[in-house]
Amino acid sequence: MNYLKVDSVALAFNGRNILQSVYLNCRQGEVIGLLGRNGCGKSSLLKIIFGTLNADHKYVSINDEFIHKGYLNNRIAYLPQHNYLPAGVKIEKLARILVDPKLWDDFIQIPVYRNKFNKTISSLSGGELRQLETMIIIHSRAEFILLDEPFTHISPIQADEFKPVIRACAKHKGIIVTDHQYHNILDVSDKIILLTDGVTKHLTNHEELITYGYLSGIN
Amino acid sequence: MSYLRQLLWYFYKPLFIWNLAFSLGYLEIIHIYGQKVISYGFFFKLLGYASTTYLQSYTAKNTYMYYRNAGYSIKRMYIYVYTIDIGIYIILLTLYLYYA
Repeated sequence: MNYLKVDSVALAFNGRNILQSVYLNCRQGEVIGLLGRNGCGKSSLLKIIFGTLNADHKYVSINDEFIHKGYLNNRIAYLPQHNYLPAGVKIEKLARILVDPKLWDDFIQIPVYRNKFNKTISSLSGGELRQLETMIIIHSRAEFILLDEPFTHISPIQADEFKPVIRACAKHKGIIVTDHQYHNILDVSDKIILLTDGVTKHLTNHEELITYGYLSGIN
Repeated sequence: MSYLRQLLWYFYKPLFIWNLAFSLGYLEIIHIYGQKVISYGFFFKLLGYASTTYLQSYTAKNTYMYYRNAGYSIKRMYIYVYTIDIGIYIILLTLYLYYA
């Protein structure tokens, strides 16, 4: 079973330490929930793992093999916060390139794809586009998936539809997911990591979110 | 690798007209000033590449993630499409010189 290891990540902007002692480990078959306040470096950490942001120091490996840029050769896929699909190309053509052929039959059952596969992204609403982009990344060929705010800009019912899909795909992949909608993260994750003061805290129970000041209470 | 040609076309499509305009524009300059200015052609093309790269990174930077998620670096995509474009330019130049 493949495992992703992220260790000794350090990142500073204008003399301010954003990340200084980051460690996390993700096995295939596991969903890691990454929580933290605004500006604590969650997105930066995902970009460093993916390979699009240079850290001052980092060690990222898959099966102990150092990975300089995670995206090369489809090792790691990343859902950014912004839209990423190119305009003017049919959705089916865009999806076929990224989606894992082994997961294609599952992917084409997704309503937003089934209804709009022969159109371009200009025919989608903002929520539909976000849903489609997230589903493409979840079903991609990569061994490890990084999801940056997949539950933002979608309706609660769509979020509820995502969670079983994430769980199903996690049988074959390792997934790291971050979002401010912590309920959804707690529901879908096997392990929770809190990023606070540039340091990762591996939580053993949800009450620690209160201990570390991320939440005032859990409903 | 099987999807590389498709990816290159999606990446090249927004740049194609712009780069073709630079190629045809320079052929027009050769037509006006004669073959003595041919040697400046590649400099003219480089200027075109710099402007299209800037334009693309300004207007379509978000889509870079699509190509990265397909497993390719953006630097590599630019190298591929500009190599293809310079090939098109050389073919057009050869045809022009042959029929001129």
